[in-house]
Amino acid sequence: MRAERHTPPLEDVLSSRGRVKVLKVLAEIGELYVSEISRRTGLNNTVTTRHLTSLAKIGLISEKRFGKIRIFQFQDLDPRAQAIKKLIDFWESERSS
Amino acid sequence: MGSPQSVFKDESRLSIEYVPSHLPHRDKELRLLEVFFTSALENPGGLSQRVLITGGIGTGKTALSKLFGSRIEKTARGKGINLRYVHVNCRINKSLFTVLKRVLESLAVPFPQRGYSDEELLHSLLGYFDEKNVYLIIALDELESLVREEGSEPLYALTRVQEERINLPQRFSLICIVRRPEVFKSLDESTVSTLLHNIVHLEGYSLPQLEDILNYRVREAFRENAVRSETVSLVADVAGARGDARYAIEILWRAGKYADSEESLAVLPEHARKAAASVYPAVRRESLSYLGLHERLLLLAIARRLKQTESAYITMGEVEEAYRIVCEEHGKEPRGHTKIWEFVQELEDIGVILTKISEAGFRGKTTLMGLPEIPAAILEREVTRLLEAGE
Repeated sequence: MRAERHTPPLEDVLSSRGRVKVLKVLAEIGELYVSEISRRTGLNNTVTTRHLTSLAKIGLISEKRFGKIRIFQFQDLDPRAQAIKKLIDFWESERSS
Repeated sequence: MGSPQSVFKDESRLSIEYVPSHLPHRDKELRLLEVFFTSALENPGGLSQRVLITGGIGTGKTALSKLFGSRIEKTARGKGINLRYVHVNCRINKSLFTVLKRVLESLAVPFPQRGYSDEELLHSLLGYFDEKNVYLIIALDELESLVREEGSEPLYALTRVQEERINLPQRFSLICIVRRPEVFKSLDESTVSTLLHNIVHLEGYSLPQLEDILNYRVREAFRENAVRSETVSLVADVAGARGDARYAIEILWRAGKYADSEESLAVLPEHARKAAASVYPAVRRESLSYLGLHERLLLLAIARRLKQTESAYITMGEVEEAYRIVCEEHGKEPRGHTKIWEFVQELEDIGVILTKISEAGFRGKTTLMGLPEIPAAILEREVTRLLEAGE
């Protein structure tokens, strides 16, 4: 793991329903823009952006700008992000079975 | 798959959307397209290619372009190049904005589809493709509609946006598909000059060629021995004058339907004759299915009024009145005169109606509308069916 990466306690990362919803959406889709994430999670734009910013700070997702368009990407290469995605996938498949 | 008694093995092979893996008698043209795009595979990003495909209805423009697209995507993949082909029908997507939207959708680009200008969207898209290292061939099918709505601007924007980028790879190439290259006359030269150098022109199919095409589709879509060879010849004869393969394939499909409805084990010439009588080129599934709601309502109004008046032509005034009645019947707000006028031109473009300017006998000048070779009653029936089905 790279030294500059800040890894807070897991209870802080998965601190709220909204945070988990945002992670679920991005883990599934890979990359999206804010208002679509907000639509899919049912959270308002401000709250969504707040979660996105925190998750980006931790390094689980990253922000990219293309001209005026801003999108967020799930960091598939980050081992912590991979672990979270695995958990989400497993959990969802248990729920649907 | 059809039911056990059906003559069909796989009906979908006769649909308009289906692109066969081989296009009989278009090998030369396919190779030519591949030659034009050689550099896209050898030196991706080096050159933005622009190619024009021209040819009449049913000469295989769309199928050729789509087949080329899937082949070049595959070849590129083999070479580790992320080259994508997106086919956009401009009759449905009549503005640069909707064309771009279609590109976003088909490549699943995670961009918002609203809130940005065409120009912004284009720039952002290029940035996104840079990041993902994607190259794109956009095929603008039935480009006439886009040119009519927005002139040369979309083509210009698509090419200019790349020229402004210095030392960055060229991400977009274009295939423009039109019936006649004359549509470009109204556009400024700089936009179209490169297009007019790379032309793939498709001639109408000859009779033996049509037969080959039909035989190929028969093998794909029908059970073995379900279609007599004389039936195929007959269908080719009927469609031969137009050199129009799509028309021929539609007759073949309907002939199969007639055979099924009579529970016949084979498609006989009589079924083809019935089918030919029911498929007027002007009311093909395809041309009508693209029409918007109000264009359909207007067409219904024209058909009805022509039937009622038993005359060859009716005036714009009569059409508008009939249209308003039809709208009321369907609970829709009628559109204004200018819009109706646009619809009329659209309908004439696709050949469903004929128009001419009134001569002596009318006060002032008015546009007269009539139908080509189709009885008003049949047109009325077809449009009503379409409106009810909500297709």
